[in-house]
Amino acid sequence: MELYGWAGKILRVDLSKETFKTQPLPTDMMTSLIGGRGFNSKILYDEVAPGTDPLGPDNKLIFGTGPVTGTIVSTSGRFTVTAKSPTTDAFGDANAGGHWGGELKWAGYDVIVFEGAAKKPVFLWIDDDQIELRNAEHIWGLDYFKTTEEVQKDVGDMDISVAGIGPAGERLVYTSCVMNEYTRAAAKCGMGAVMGSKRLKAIAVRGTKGVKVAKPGELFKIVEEYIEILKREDRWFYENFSKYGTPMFVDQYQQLGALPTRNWRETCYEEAEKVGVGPFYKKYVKKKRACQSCPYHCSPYFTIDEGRFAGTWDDGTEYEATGGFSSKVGCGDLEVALVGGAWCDKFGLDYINCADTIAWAFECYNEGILTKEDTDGLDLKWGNADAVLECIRRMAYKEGKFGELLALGSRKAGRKVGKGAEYYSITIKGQQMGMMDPRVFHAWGFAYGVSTRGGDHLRSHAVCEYMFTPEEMEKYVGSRKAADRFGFEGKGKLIFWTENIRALNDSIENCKYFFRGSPRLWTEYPHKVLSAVTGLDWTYEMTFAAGQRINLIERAYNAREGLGRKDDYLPERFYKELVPTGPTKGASFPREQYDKILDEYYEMRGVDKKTGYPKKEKLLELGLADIAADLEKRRKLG
Amino acid sequence: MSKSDLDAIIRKEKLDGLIGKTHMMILEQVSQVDKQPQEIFDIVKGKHEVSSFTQVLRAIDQLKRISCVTVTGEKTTTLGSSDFGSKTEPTYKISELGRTLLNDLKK
Repeated sequence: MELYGWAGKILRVDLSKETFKTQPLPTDMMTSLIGGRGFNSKILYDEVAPGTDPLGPDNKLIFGTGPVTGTIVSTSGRFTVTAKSPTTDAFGDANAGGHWGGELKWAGYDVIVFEGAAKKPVFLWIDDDQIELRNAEHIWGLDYFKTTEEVQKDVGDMDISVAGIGPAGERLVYTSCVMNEYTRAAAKCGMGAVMGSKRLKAIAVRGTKGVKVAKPGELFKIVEEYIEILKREDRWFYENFSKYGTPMFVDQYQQLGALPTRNWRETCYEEAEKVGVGPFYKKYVKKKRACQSCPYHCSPYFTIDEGRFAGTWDDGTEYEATGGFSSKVGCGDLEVALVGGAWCDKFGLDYINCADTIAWAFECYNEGILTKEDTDGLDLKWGNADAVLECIRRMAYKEGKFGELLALGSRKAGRKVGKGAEYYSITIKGQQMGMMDPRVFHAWGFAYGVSTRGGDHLRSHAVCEYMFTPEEMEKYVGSRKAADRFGFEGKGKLIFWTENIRALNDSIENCKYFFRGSPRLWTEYPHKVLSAVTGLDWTYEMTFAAGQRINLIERAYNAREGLGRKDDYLPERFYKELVPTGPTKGASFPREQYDKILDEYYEMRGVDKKTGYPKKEKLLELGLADIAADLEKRRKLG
Repeated sequence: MSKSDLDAIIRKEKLDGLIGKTHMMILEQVSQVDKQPQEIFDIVKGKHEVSSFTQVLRAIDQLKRISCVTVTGEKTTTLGSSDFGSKTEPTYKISELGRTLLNDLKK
């Protein structure tokens, strides 16, 4: 059978033995799991046993692309990195944009599975069919930007796309990520630390084979049509997001009374105007960049031209940096937030996990739990800009005992410190959340709780809670009331539905932002694009079932690791404390309401309400008999 | 234009079944005086599950697409919903077709 869309090959790299092999991509995986996140999740389930040390050689590091990766389909340069996470000690993955994913597909691979661990630092060089592990001892220790340049020099092509880690990944920092093309991060779940544990510094790829598309003429029409739909049906967002990218959310969430402030104590920041898009674009942004085939070009490239940070540049700066290193730590200095983001990219740190861990340390210090002795002399008074930057650096390099503490991420650091420090760790399953307060976005808050990879704003399209009209919610979700962000009705249904759509996006390997604004992009576009690219007859029902399947595989993985209902809750702060100030003052998320939503969600997901484990009948219905049998054997069926 | 013309525009814009009470509340607000989204949101918030200004912006866009409101100018805002960093946003008024829709929705 001639394949379209998928390259049809899995590349396996045994780092311990320094050997490679390719194997055909099983055809049943293509139609049941689509690609990227779906492929990776199943491979992880099948090949990484419960109890595996996330930083040991038995963990596997999996890079997966989707059937549209490398085509003209909008935002199709993406890929997913999956492994057992050292941050959550459970299922972990992270997804990134850029062009690296496209290069891998053009070289002829859908998936790379790294096994074992190298004896000495290495990087992988893929030049179509030529695969080589090269010595990376000379670049071990370099930041990710310099790593990219050295790898490009080594392979003799300064345009080569390089995914890699910085000093944080090398030092097994739990908040570290896998970077590509300088500033695109596969950020969540400590994937950088897993790569570091394998002594794999980078993966350079050059692909020249392209991707075979079954119906190119039809695909062109679909892509053009749906870009127009996006622009028309979500006009306001499209226009603003194209202009400003995610940094605009500082302004937006401030207006909505949802901006996490001083480690999530408050939702409104008194100096938000200083760190919003107005000053950022007026003084610093020079141009915009886009990932592969993206109609948004949301990525701002900025430089700081004068003052103590002169010479700093970055691109792809996000809300989680401009907000994370400002409101979250009570510091209204935009340059510090920009430098903080740039350092994260160079050091290979996740903005969110890094900023939240620092905010946790600041709150512990201000509450008297941490002292100057614990912080190696740093004064963590709210707003101390120099201390914010110093925390980032020490975390990345694990410098001193305080750097070692920060490198654990806030959950594990909180456990280590004790004395009530865990209360201030704003994590779910050990992972930091995002940048939207759950007390004022109940669907979003709930989505954080049940996300399979821990606290996470990207695992559902909960954003529609404040975008869609009640009429749209009624038609597409079946609950008008789900449109009330302060309400509780219809939220379980909304998250069940949109989690499945997101799993689908992540498996096709498209950017969430392309799907953000119109329900038609969820219910029409994926199966039309898949049909044109692969030549198979996809339907909405098939794609939706794939989304369900992927979510349940990940939940099954977590069940096998002992995670269940008890792990699907928000941090206590959000149940106990009302929003204290600002436009959403008094907002809350009572635990009994959360429980009701959780029951509603479990029912739809096919999960046992008591344990949170997947039920046999749902697994069988979705064609996951092997997983049902495995869970049954381990007594983890719901 | 008649109700059947309106229905045809709604179908063409793929908004069948998606125009309802939210749009009625907005049309009522702009039927006498020109208003900007922020002013409309301040009045309708908390009613009929409308809880964010972004929902009002989206509903106004939908009304624009079916020619039921028109832009009349712009006014100062604190919401920043026109353009971040900008201090103004458009004002809207109901159109003739909008009155047809409003009457229909009121039924």
